[in-house]
Amino acid sequence: MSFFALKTPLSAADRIGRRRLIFADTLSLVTLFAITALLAVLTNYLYQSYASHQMALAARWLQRGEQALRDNKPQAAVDALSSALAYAPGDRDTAIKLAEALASAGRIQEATVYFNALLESQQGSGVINLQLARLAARQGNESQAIEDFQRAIYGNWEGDGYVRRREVRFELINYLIANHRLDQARSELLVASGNAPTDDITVQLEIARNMEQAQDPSDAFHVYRTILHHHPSLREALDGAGRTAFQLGRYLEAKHYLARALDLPATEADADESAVAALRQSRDQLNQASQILALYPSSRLKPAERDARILSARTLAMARLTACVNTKAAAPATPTAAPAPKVSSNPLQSLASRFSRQPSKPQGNQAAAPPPIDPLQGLVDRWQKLPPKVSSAELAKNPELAETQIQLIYDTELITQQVCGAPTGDDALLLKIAQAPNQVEEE
Amino acid sequence: MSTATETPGMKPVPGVVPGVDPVEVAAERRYRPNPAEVQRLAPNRDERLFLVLSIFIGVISGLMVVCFRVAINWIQVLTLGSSPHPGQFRLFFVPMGVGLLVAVLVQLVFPGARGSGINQTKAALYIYNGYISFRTVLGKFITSALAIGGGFSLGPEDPSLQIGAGVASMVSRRLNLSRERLRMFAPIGAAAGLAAAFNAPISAILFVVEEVIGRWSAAVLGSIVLSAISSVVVARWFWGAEPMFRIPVVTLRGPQELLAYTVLGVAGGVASLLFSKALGYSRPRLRNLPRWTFYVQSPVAGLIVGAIAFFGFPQVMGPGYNVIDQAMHGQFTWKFLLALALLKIVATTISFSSGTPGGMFAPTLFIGAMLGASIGTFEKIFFPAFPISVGSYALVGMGVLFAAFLRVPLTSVFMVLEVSGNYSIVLPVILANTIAYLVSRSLQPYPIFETFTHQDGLDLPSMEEQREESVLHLEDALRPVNLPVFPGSATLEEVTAQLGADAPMLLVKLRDGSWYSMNRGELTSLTEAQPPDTLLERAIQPDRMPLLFPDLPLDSAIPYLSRWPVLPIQNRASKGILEGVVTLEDVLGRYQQK
Repeated sequence: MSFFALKTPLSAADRIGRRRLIFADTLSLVTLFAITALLAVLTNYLYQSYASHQMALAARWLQRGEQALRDNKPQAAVDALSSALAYAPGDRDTAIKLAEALASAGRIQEATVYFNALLESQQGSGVINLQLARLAARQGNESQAIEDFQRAIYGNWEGDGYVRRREVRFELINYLIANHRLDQARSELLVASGNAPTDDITVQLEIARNMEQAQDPSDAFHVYRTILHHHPSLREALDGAGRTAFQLGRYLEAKHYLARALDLPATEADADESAVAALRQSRDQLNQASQILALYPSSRLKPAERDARILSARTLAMARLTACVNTKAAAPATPTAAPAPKVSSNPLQSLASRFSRQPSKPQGNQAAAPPPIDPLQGLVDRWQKLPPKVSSAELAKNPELAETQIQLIYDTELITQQVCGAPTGDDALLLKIAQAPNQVEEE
Repeated sequence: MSTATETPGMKPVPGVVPGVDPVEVAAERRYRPNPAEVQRLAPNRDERLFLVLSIFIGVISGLMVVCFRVAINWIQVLTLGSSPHPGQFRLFFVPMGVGLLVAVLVQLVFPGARGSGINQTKAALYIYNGYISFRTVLGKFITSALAIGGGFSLGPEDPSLQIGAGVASMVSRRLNLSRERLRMFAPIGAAAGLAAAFNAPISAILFVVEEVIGRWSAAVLGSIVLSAISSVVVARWFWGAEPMFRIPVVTLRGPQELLAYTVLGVAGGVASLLFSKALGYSRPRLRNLPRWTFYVQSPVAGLIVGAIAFFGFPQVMGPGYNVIDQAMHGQFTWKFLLALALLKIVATTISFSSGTPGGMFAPTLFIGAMLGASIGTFEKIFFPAFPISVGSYALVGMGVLFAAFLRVPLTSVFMVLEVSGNYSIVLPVILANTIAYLVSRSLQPYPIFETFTHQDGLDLPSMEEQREESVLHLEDALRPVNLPVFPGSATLEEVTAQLGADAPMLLVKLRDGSWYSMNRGELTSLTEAQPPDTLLERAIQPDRMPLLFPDLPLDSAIPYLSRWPVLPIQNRASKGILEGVVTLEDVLGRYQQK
């Protein structure tokens, strides 16, 4: 069959009809296109108007929510932020604020679920992990909180990531200190210290303060000294250095820093209550440090003065030991304990008589156990081995005796503190020296 | 205009569907030019226009649906405020006022707007040659937007489907297409409307195939896909490509979780039964009330929905997409979720039964999501050993209710996959949906749309039955070749001599491998007209038998059985090799057996 035979034979009238049909169809399609275009324009106008209204509503409710959060009205904030989120469903910041509001409103479980949901869509988000950490902390879930804090520190932060990570680390450190996880806190502080810029005084001060709270005065003292290296007259650093030096037993340095701090002119900030309390503490510590240094038989002193201090300390220590032995003897003991003998004129003899009594024999078939070694007895024995009276001349002649005396004085203070409790007055100062005698004048 | 279908106080006239005015249909038919004339002048015109119009329909439907959703949201903000909360008095009164306005509009101006839109579209397809009037489309748009925006517990998807079908109907009518084509355009527009409303083209196509057409049809499928995709492209131009819900990370975390999904499937089946029973009970009773009550039913429904919202559950108002989103992200307690599911059933039953225009897709998804999230949250709390994600339960719950309530199992699976974009959840979805579907089927014989059809006095085809109907093929009626077979090179004399006296028919195998069948009468007339030594292949008529294969539909043989007494069924792989033969008696006998 030929190609032409395939064509339908049309009459002239048919051809006209066909042309009309084609024209009518073309006109219909053009009209349809025009209607579609018109509808598209109209829809676009409606949609743009709707979308801008949605955005306005979202912004309005977000503003109300933020205001409610600032006004500490978490429930109102939850309602407002929920509405804001309904008009801007993909807005991450609004979602986070809503979750924060839920947490503030005490709806911890909902907030946790919300943050977890946010986290699923934004794996590794620092902000969300931080909020989850705070929620876990509020729920008392320590391990989860620490884990979330760590994730927040190593998570993604926008823009000021370095600063935010440091802030989160400080928050973690505070949390660890508050929960008595001091070892972990110290580890985090060392990392924070290593990462912190040396010229940022605020950060360095915060690290040092946190180190003090984490019972790490040594590192804290080091940080304060670093700060003072750059800012020698910074009151907070001087206070901190003096305070930590005092804790470390470095009384010479403590006195040095505290005196410098107290010599600085008062500022307006010193008027508030905490500053006044801190000032008082600094003064007390300065006084104590001065008194300790006045008692301390430093090798830097002239021999006569040093010997005089040793003799003075000897008298104090012996009195302390006598008082402690008497206190212990007066205390109700076992029924077989003998009454305390009269104190002789020589205190060492008197003490010896107290400890020379034989221990009671075991009764019945009780096994004869060796009697426990009394630390006071050991002290008394050591005192008895020394001459009952020592003069400055003897000490000057016999430096070895001086050292033995000093050591015994320190041991007496340490042991009596263990047996009879904390001393007061000069004994207390001697005790502080005894705890770290080599550091008293360390610089 | 006659409104016999929806005349208040009267029972619906059997055979007349709500939403279609017979007078309008008749008027429309009167002004149609002669399609036969058009067909004669341009035989391929309809076919060419069909695809072009499918795109136009998709685009226009998409634009209409965007406008529809914008209108709903505007009305919602204007009437209920930008942040509805329990205790606001407007929640109490606005739905009632809107209900009154909608009732007046439906009763006096837009009687065809009543209902969800699914059955109206089916009726347009099966009864009215795809006809949906402009008035119905406009009425559906206005009244549904008012009702949904005003807080009624209804959804925009079903009305969008009808709006799309209406757009298709209007466009195709203006171009004087043939009746067959006009009828096809209704599902094309329906798919476009639903796809735009759902932002999920595959689910929309599957729904239209499962629930509106009932069978896969290659002739219309291409156009449905074109229009659905066109409409979704338009909708996404405005709304963006994001799915309707923020889908959480959804994974199947262990085989033991399947047990929990089984529980969800059973619960979904029971919930859908409750929902279906409530609608099936209340809808006909409210429709049979006196005429004046039709003006009161919607306001009272609005008052009840408003009361639910006022006293603590504003989430049940409107489609509730944002609530589904929140539930999917585990922001509610299991008790609250369960309460929302139950109250949504109540609110939707009242809203829909009162005749207020609006759809049931969104409420179904809402109930499913709440139920799923509730079960997920419960299991998470009380069975911590199960590694459960509440979001996945809400998602599967939506599919479960979809499968069990709307009874569209295939759509329900794809809907979840398409909405979530995550194929790792396919196993729990299939498991839970199948269980829910089976539970629903065993407890409720008719799907909900079929129930409504019966209540309206209509007799539309049951899509569920159609889907499950086994299609007969030629192989089902095949019988062995027990006829005498002669080569085409045999002479008439040889054939006559060899053919037994009792053989009524014979088959001739020609040189080119084709076959020819004849009965004894034809052989006798050939013998009388031709010399005896004439070869059989020269003596027979020039026409040839059709090529038929065992897998073809059984009815494909019927047109040829008036000409041929017996039809040889050939092997597809080996030309000329017979699998068997069929006669008219075989075909009819097979149909009668069925």
